[in-house]
Amino acid sequence: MKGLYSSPFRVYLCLFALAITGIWAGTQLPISLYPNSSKPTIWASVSYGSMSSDEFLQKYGTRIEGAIEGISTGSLEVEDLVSNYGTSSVSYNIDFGWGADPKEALREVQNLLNAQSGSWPREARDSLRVNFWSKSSGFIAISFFSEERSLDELYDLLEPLLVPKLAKVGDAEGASLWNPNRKEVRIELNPEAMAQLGLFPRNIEEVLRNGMAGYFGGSVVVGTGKLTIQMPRELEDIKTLENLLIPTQSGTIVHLSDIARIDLGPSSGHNRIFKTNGADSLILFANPRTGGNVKRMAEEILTIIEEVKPQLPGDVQYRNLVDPSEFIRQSVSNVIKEVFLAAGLAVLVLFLFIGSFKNTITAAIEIPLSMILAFIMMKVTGMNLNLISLGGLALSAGMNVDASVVVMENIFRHFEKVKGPLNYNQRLQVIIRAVKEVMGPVVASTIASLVVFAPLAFTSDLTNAILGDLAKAVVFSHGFSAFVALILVPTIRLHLMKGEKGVSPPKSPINGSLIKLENGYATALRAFIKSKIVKWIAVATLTGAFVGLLFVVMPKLKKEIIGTPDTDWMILSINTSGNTNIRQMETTTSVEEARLLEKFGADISYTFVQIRGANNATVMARLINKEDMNKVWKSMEGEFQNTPTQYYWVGPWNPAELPLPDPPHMRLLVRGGSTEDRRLMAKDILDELREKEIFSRQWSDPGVSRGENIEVNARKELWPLLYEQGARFSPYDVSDLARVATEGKSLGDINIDGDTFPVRLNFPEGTVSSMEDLMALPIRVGDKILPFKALNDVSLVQSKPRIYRENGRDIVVIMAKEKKGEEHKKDTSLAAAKKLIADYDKKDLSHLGLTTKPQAYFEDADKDLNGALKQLTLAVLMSILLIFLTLLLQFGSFVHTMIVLVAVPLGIMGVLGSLFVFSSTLSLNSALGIILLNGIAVANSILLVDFIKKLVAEGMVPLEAAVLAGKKRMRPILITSLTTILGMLPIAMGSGEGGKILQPLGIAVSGGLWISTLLTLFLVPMLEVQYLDWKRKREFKLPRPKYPNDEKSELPQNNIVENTL
Amino acid sequence: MKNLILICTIGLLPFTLMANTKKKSVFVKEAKKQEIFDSFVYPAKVEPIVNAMVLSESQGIVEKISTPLGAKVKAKQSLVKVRHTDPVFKYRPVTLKAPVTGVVSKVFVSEGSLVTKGQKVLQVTDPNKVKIKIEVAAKDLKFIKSGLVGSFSARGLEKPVSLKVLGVSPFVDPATGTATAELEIENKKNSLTPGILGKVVFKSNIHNGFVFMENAIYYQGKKTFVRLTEKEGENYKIKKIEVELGPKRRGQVEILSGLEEGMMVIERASGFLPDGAEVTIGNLPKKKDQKKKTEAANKEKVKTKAKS
Repeated sequence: MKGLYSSPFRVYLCLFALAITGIWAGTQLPISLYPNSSKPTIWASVSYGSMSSDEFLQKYGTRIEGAIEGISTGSLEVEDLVSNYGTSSVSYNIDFGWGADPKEALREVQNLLNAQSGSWPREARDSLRVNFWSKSSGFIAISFFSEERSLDELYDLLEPLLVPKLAKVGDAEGASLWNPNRKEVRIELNPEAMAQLGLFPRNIEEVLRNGMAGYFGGSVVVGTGKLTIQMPRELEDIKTLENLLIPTQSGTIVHLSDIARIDLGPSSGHNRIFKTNGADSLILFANPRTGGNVKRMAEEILTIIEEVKPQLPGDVQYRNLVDPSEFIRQSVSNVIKEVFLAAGLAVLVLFLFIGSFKNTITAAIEIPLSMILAFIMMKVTGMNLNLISLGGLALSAGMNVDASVVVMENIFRHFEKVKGPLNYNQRLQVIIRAVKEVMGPVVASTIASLVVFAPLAFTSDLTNAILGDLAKAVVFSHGFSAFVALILVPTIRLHLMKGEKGVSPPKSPINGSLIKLENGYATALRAFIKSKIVKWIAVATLTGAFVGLLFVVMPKLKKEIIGTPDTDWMILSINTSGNTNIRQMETTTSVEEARLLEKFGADISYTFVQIRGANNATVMARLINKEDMNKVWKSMEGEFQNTPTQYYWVGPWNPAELPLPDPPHMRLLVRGGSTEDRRLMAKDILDELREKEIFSRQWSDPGVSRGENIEVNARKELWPLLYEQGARFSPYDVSDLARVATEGKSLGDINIDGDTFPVRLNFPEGTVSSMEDLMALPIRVGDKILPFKALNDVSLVQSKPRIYRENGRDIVVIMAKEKKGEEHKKDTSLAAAKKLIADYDKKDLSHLGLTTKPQAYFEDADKDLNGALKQLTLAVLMSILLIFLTLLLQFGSFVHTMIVLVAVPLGIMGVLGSLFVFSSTLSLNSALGIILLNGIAVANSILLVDFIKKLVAEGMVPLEAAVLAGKKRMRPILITSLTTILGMLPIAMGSGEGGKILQPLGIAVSGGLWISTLLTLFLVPMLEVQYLDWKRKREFKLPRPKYPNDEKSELPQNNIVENTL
Repeated sequence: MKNLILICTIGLLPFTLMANTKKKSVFVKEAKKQEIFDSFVYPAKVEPIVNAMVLSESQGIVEKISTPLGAKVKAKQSLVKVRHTDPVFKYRPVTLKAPVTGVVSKVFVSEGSLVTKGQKVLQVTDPNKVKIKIEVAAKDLKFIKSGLVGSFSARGLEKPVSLKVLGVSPFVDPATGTATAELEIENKKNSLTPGILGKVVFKSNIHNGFVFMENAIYYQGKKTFVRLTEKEGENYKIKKIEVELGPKRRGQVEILSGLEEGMMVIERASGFLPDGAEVTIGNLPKKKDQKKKTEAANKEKVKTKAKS
């Protein structure tokens, strides 16, 4: 230690090097909105074609589900498996736990299903698809446009420049350049000509496929050389396609152009259309892959565009439509501002109490330094800078000065005692003595305030995933603060005091007021302790208030996992029914977009439209001012009311990448009975819920409305005779005909003049627009032209209900949710729903015609949140227990420990009270606030009790000891409390985008600490005096000392034996 | 900040309340009996009625074909000269004459070729007189009977042409499961070329009844309902009534019983409609008498004003 302080430059250099490393580490930390933890969901689908859902489930489904649920290797653990067996295919949604590696999860499911697929029918095996399923909606969209070029020309220009680079973006999944004018080769068959010639679409497909491929004809050695025989592909342009020769049933040969119209035109099978401000443009679109960093993805793509920019002609322009990186950057920089503000406020408090700039800076240097050092640990442990970890840094900013203040004060205290000038070595000795004295307490109190986080490690994955970063950030930065306080502060002091004589601490700028405050407090405290009734009324009131807050107020607090930030994007989603073509939706959407711009044009900077299908589209509107979000949201909800033909949904959009659970407010399971009976009963219950309008929105999984299918059964008895009569087709050709005639068929890609185009085989639009049309499709047999229905029985049947299974249970789930802003109604609504079901169970269900008996029962919808909160409560209790044990070790007395612990319920009261008053939420953050608060509140309490005990041991009467201790300890208590309270204030205000997320934590800590400090200052000394008096009375049977009102008491000296330590 | 948000939300409260209490809107259709029919659609082939084959009357060598393919011929017009090869007939040429007026539609032989007695030489078709042939699926035979009227449409045909079933073969081909039917059609402007394919549509089981969009039907268990709007003062209220469904045709459902003429049936709604809820009607038909009433009321008002 001596060597350390005596060579300040070595210390400075060492810390400077560490600081540089820290700053470097800080710049290297990836930035994201939420902590870097993933919860992958893998999606798999198999279509079983000819098998029924029941058959597939029995034969293969249960085995597949069993195997999936059994996945458990390393960090991979399947949490939930939802399987949904439809008419012709099944989909599995496999939820893995927090922290599972997405790639590993995908690989595991792929391997498992590939192994299983060996025993499946071929069509099922071929249809197996496995992929990530992404709940999060973060994406980047950039539009490219030019006034001089057509979209095709622009595409041809940009595609080779951009697409190869986009493929390299690791965080992106399916980054692509979208050309709305994408062309395809359409082969529109003439149904009559086909029938007359006895042709089926399959005959055409065969010839086309042959023509689209080139062949290798072996090789021949001629002389010394070897010549390969190549047969180039036949189809090279539209002309060769038109002249393709098709052999017919009767032996004649026709050209393809005789029986079909061939053209290269805009794709009809668009499954998506994107538009910016109503204008068509090329769109670069990319989603992050599961676990990918959306900000990094966006930045990499933007860098690619910057790189390509110099190669683009002047007329080509682009615009970032949706850039999540900008949003995240802003949110994060906002919290960084809050960290600085917190640090600034802490420094201000410090200055007010300490005075002297020099000393304030000596203590305050700790704040940035411990934060920078924490970056090193964050880098090492693979954390990133996000709202949560930055919140941790903001939180610790106020706490971090405590250690420095203690060390510095003690050094001053020691220098105060020495008289006359000291030489260097003497000064060094004094400082070492001073530091040694407080080293134990500083390390102990730092460990004590960090140890409360230990129980967090045992909480659920969800809590850990979200709060882990906050806890780690506090532990790292607060831990380093003790290190800095013990090493750097004494070194600087030694350095600064060079040549000085004995020093006394400088006066605080508000010293006068502080002294007044101290005196006022002492008087009040004395009066409080001496009062006979008031103190007990206060105790009773506080106990009552505590019980009331715990059992009346707490259940009323809104619960949430974690808040979401404000955003400047609003979404208007439009749903229609009955459209068959995406172009119809385009028209509808442009009308709605115009309406949006007409009404809210003043608030909207630009719009981005995604038409996702013939009946679904979203209009994203970028607001000019983020503060308008709530206003615009509400008025948009008022403007876009459902109509009989169009349904709307309005809400904000933010590119968060953390898959936070978003559970419904009600989950009602219908289980048991047959699948159809479950559907009927679930629909009946759903309709009752809708009838009573208990919740604002209710739905079910799977859907329970009645569906219909067209069923086509080949008339098998005809086929032998048909073949006898020379028919050269099979039932497969007939079903293929139905497919091409209705929705068309893609035949892969064809290369024309260096460009690749998809090829599509279909019938003229409108050929089949009803079941009657399908039944009348012409098929030639011999000389006769038969209708489709002659060879097949075609009927309209009620479709089989979907089989929906959650973790192997056959169920229908009915879910309900309140509208945004009306969530507070959910408990009354849920009670009403429960009553409805209780009544429903007594009802006569004969009108449903059920043959089996399904049952309906409720499930906790907030399972995740309640589980997490329960575990957090446990963590709070464990942290209190840890504090208790630490105190017991320190005081060795149960009663003293309990008196110190009175600060804990006071703190909890403060938290619940302020959460309620500021209508904040009971979230993971506020629960963490309670844990954190316990540590700080108890520290204040310790300071008081410890000092009172010391004074009493020195022979003071308990009352006087308490008043003196209170007076002496008020300043340090105020410093530590105020730095933390003010440090959390910017977060408690919840300003800026990121603010909303941490607000409950800020409110919990600043509100709770304020109240607890105030109450601790009175309650703890009072209880301590009561105890000491009582103990004295019992041990010495002495009469209670008299405290005359106006004269000095005769203090009994040296007759108190302190035997508790 | 907090207060600001609070003020904003309180300020917006009336709007949200208004939004909540806003009535759902519906589209209605008045229950009116209309013509309903089952439609039967068949692929159909246009065939000539007059399609005469010219056969060789004797064995001989074709000496001259005077009417090439496509030539218009009149009945009794000489078409082909065939010279006897049998010395008994002294190599006398025989002239084959057109059996009917029409167009030479097929030429089976060439000049100089040897034909036997009864061999096909030419085919003469009258393109103006056509009929239509369809293959009727066995289960439809009870509906498709002679005298049934339908219409024919084909690509390139401006509008459908009406036709009538002449007769249906009583014999069902076991290989195809169909019986052939012949249909009579008028070939105006010779727009129907023999050989083309088209579609025949028959209306059968024609009757009057109620039909509504499938959306109008509300299923509850095995029962089926429709919702009506009933006028109560100035408001419209929802009433659910049970109905019996008939067959579905092209997205429309026939309602067999339970409905009465004039009821306002809801076909589409902006949300779930509880019984008794008030709604607004989005497609309220403007009634003439209503207009008159308001006009009359206005006149009265004017009168009373004048009086006072």
